[in-house]
Amino acid sequence: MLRSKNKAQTALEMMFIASIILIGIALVIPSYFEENKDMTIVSYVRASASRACDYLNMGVLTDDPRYSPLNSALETLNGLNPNLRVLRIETSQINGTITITVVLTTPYSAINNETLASAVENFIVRDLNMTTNLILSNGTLFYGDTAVNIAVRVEG
Amino acid sequence: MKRGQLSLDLLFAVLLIIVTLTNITYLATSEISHAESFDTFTKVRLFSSTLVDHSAKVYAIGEGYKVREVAPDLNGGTIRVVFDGATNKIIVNATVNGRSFWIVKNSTVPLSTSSVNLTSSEEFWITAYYNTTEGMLYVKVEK
Repeated sequence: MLRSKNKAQTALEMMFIASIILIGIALVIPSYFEENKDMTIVSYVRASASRACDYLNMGVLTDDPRYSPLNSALETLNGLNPNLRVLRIETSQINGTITITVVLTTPYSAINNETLASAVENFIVRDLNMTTNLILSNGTLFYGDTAVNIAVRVEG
Repeated sequence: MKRGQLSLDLLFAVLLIIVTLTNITYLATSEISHAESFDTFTKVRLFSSTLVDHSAKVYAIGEGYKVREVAPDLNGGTIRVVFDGATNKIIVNATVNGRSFWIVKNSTVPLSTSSVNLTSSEEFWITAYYNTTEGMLYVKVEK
């Protein structure tokens, strides 16, 4: 009699522990996926931005459609190496919309920053649409149901 | 019972690790095609800089001097080198797997309009020649 009561108690305890573990997992997993998604998007943008910088610094033009948004900006540089690099990346998230601001830096103040910034921005949007699983829909990038806005700024 | 519990924890941990790994793998594969393009960019860029440098050297040494150049190995691609005398620019145009890569460089010495078409690792020459009618020294490319 005592034996079976003990058993029932152990089973009850185990259920309790198991439920705590399961609730813990249920809490951890969605936030983990959310974090993982944000990290993925940011690393895509970062990789793409540094590719744009490498392309502009290299000075070699190509007819590869991935790089076509950068070609006109590269031609206006007229053989000058702009020494661009990614200074920092800022992200902000409001109601399912992630805004990623990429800040590039160049030692030359004579470079037309506006043209360069918009060219790099167009490149990143196209590149992410073509090579990653972000999808361009009505001019906005989407990763699942998250809208991704990209802004590029060049600081002299 | 205790063992079963441990494996449940482990299973979820493994799931999270797999999610992360899949992401990293995906990112890496998308990088590969870009890396291949950049391999060509670098070779074309380096080749164009070499041409600018060597044409200046050939000009400095003077008439009749030749330098042997070797086209870079572009995985079966072809290269066209153009010396444009009108604008004094050196244009390198490479075609690899149907994609075109080109760079325009300013030359520091006077060029005579000339061009060569090359396959990977093919030899050609940069020559200084004296134009007797103009009385000017020019640099040109020839095979």
